[in-house]
Amino acid sequence: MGRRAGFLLPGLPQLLRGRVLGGGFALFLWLGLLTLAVTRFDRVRGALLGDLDDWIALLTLAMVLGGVWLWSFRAGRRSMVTGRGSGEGSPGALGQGWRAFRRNRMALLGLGTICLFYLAMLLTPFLAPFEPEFREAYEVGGDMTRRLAAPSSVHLMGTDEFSQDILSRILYGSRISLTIGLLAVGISVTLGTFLGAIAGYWGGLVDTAIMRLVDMVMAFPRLVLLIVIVALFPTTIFIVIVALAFTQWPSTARMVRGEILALKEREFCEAARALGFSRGRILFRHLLPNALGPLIVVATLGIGNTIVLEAGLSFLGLGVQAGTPSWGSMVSDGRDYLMDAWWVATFPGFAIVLAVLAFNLVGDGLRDALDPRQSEGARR
Amino acid sequence: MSLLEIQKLRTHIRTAGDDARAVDGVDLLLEEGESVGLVGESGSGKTLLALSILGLLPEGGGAILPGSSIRFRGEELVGMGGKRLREIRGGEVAMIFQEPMTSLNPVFSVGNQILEAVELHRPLNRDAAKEEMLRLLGEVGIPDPEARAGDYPHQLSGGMRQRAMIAMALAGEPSLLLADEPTTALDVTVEAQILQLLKRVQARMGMGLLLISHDLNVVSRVCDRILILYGGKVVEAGPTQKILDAPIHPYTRGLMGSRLSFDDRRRTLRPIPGEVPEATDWPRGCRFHPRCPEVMDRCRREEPRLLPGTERKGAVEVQGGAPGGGRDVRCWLLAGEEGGA
Repeated sequence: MGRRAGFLLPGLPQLLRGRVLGGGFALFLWLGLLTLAVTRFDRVRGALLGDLDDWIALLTLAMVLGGVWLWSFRAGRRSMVTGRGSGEGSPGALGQGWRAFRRNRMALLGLGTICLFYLAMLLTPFLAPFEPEFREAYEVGGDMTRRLAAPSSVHLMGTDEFSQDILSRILYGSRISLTIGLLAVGISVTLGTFLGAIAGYWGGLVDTAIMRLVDMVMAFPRLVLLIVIVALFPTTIFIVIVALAFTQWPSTARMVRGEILALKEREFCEAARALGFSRGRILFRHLLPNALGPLIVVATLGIGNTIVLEAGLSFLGLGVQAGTPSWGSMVSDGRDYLMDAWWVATFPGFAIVLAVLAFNLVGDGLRDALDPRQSEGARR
Repeated sequence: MSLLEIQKLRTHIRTAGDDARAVDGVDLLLEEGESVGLVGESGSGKTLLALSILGLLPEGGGAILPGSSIRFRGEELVGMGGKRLREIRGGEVAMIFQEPMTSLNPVFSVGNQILEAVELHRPLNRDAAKEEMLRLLGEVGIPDPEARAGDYPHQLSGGMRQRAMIAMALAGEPSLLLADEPTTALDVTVEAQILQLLKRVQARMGMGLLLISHDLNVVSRVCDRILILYGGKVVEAGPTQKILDAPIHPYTRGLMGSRLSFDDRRRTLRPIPGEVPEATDWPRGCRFHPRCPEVMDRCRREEPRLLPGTERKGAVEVQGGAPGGGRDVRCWLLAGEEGGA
């Protein structure tokens, strides 16, 4: 029965088994995407002849549709066979963490939101009703009626001063905001982890050198440092990412150093040395995985933080080039019309808030699950 | 050539004030396949001695002084570093620690950890190493190795964890095993099982065993010979049975008096008064004299040397015993108030 239901509609076996959240999300996602594929069939078919973005969107659509269906079908069958839900196979630290995380409704909501945001980013060519630079009114003989048009059925979130569709620009802008957040944090966490781990484990002169560098970077207010770096170089997305990463890594390095300092006094480190493992192997294979919990938390919270900072830079006109849609610059563009056309600044601002909130919810949930020492309601 | 030959080992710990002379001139001989027990209170320097052998002293904290020598099959370990030392660690000389709760890495399954040790020290391919890992788990008496291999340390009991630790130590097929208080954190029934296990694998693999404990009972159940350590120095050494039957040094007698016995429940415990002095500030003369019930004037003035001794009958006789086979004692009782030596 459950098996057949899974074959028909993904999420249904989970729903029948009382797992409303997982099943509901799967069902909602699957039906939503199917609707999208059907209603915008022309656009989807046209993507076959389109550019790279189109292909990525096409691939995403196919993979998510297939993936959700497969997951639901297989998870439904597995729970029928074993009588248990999925995800109970791994009792390791991360497996335990995931189980604790699953109980946190707000964090799950955040995770779902993040997934939807990134999905929307990838599917932008299909989702966006207009091209980001499309200026309808100008095309039609200079008719200015579409300028700063209020939200309507044609322009769900209205248009801006150049008659550009805000929803489409938010979708295209998510590429900048969400990608920069992810990349900058990826770079800074990698760099910070590496340097912090080395500083904590080797100690002595290496430690001093690295940590003084950390102090130096942290001595400046982050925004000031960002502005200086971005102003020094020609403004490209690459520079923005590097600047964000460069100002972020010291806090990660500090956290990782502290973790390693504590971990290297633990007996299993001594035991590993007694077994003849090399220092590098002990540090990266034995100690670092123990610091993974707090690291994931820091990274997740860092993404939200970075999205805000990037928006701030764009707002100040220091981010991406003018005209390129980005949430921060859209808010900046709309601030002059806040009294007459609130929708120009409000919707992109809302997107920023929602994305950051989602990341922070997930980060807090992860902290509760993986790093109980630091959470307020410590369970252990 | 002996398996392990320690000569004049002095390991000091740097402190803010004077250096702590934690191990202060210890000689130790361990032949192939022999098991030697090292007994002493906390602070007697026994753990530091074991750490010195593998060069595992805490960084910036401890140092082996020049003039010390630790030879493993003739190879000098003091001052050794790099690749050869790492080969010896876990390969030819393995060590197990006191706290099985914390000596295993919490984020990896025990099977994984043993597998890593096997792969490091043995020229086996992945499948063979996995088989060896399962064999080791069975060897140390863990039931259903295939299932337990996937368990994480927190899922195992203390005894099982210590068994897993022993399996890791055996992974490199060592010829010398250093066991630092391997059963102290375990309850008594498990302790007996672990000691039996150590004895069994030692006999089967022909390993040398250096068993460190504060508990004379534990050591006497496993070891052929015993060294009693006090204040960083050996105060008495000899075959297990002889020491148990007739302890000579007042400290050894104190240890005997303060141990629990199942055979004689009415016997009252006689603890040794006082406590081990600070290693930065050993007393002048014999280091045990402030706590010694038989202290003489001479003990306060001069430090006794380690001398061959025989049984104690009222007064102590001095006799030139056979080296290695006999017993050595560091006490003025052997020489008397004025005598030579």
